[in-house]
Amino acid sequence: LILFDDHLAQAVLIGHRHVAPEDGPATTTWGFHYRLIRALTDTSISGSLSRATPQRMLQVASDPVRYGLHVVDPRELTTTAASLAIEHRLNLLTAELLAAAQVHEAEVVLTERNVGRRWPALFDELGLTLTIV
Amino acid sequence: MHRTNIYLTDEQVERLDAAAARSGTTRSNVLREMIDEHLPARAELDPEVVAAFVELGERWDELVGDMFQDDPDLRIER
Repeated sequence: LILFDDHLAQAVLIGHRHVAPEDGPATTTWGFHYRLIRALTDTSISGSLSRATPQRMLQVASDPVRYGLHVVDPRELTTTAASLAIEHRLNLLTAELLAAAQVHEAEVVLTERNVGRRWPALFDELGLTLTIV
Repeated sequence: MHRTNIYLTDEQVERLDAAAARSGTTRSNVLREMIDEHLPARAELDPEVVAAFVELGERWDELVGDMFQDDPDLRIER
């Protein structure tokens, strides 16, 4: 499995980022999906684009599986995420991401801006794969 | 239509047959509906929507980059 952040997830939705079939479906976490939906719901963002399609963009992002993006079910990550959050003092977004990578043995692919200061060391410590693009 | 053979456990066959009986349909139809529901074909996108997403991607840092920095649950600690 490959887990993308919100920025890369929107590229998956429009078919501009692909994963090899053997790597499983392109996936994101609930937290990153929520950030994408929240950004598209904010009219100060979607309204500033040159094309007036905020509602249609929101429809696409709200039905991700139809556009090739899967969202990991956060319910199966709760226990692992809570343990990681306590052990490493993580916020919800980070704990969920690391738990998803750990539980699903997934590679995490993030844009540089979405990499927290402590994350590379944390991924190393947990034996998880982080790719920054 | 393609004909295919798959291996199922006895218990899976029981559940499949029960679902078919409930819906008044066949095993094959239940499986086809499950595939359509869980593995849908990729939907077509309006080119205008694609262009808007491309613009959003190109302006991501400007428009979304700092959006969550005041949210303790969603921010990236830099």
